[in-house]
Amino acid sequence: MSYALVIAEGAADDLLALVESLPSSRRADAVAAVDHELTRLSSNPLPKARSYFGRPAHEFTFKAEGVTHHWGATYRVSEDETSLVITHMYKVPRIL
Amino acid sequence: MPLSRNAQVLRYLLEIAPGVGHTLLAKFVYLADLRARQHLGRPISAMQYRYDNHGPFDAVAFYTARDELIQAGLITHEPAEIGGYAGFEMRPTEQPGQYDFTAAEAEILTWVAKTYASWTATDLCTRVVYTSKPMQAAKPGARLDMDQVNREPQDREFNLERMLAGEKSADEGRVRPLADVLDELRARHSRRGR
Repeated sequence: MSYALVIAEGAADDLLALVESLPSSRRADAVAAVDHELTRLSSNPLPKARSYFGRPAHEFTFKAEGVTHHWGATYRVSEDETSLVITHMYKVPRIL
Repeated sequence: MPLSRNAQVLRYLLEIAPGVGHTLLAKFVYLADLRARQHLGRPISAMQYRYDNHGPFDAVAFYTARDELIQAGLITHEPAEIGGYAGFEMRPTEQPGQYDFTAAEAEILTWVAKTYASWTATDLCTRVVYTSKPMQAAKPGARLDMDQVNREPQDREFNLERMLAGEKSADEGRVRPLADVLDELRARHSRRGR
């Protein structure tokens, strides 16, 4: 079962800030990676590999111009189980 | 008169996990402070932890806060058998508590109490408390170096407050199809624009 993929207002700002933190030559690859990973997540959101305060998170690695980036997204499935909502996007912390 | 910060923390934790004893409640406070330092860069309570007989504990601050709650009629404190030992269990009364926690602080307290409410004190100490960084380096009787785990969220890294804000906007219906957001980003940062 695939969920409709939506993003909360604040998380969309997070994504924009993440993309714009990269050199311009890497941004298209980053957008493509986010699209690929979150689409994959929406078609199979379980099992969760990581969680923050009980919220599942999907963390993924991609390369842009040979440089590895490690990003993540917290999410939840809507109560009517029709959509998957991205609630926060972030660079994976190095130490936690 | 408003409750002290420590009393607020104890009462809030007891609302989530009513009926726990002193040992478990003290460990909840420690773990909440630890998590808060890791994610917010500051503790929630004003406890100053020492390596006590049963792990990290600020006896004076803890019992002062407990007595404050009993005197204010905000908790009950009754003898009970806890984990096979004679102890006391504490429960919130019907009287509502007044809290000044931020959303992130409340989330951390809730998460700690919900996650560990069903654990025994022994398991919690062995598996979680004693393996925490401040306890690994601590000496019995000495003050714990809690500052070593302080970490404010770095720019664009996981941020609890931002996640909670995202959830709030989702609750209020402020969401967009991801495809639309990605299309806008593509238009802005297409490969042709390199």
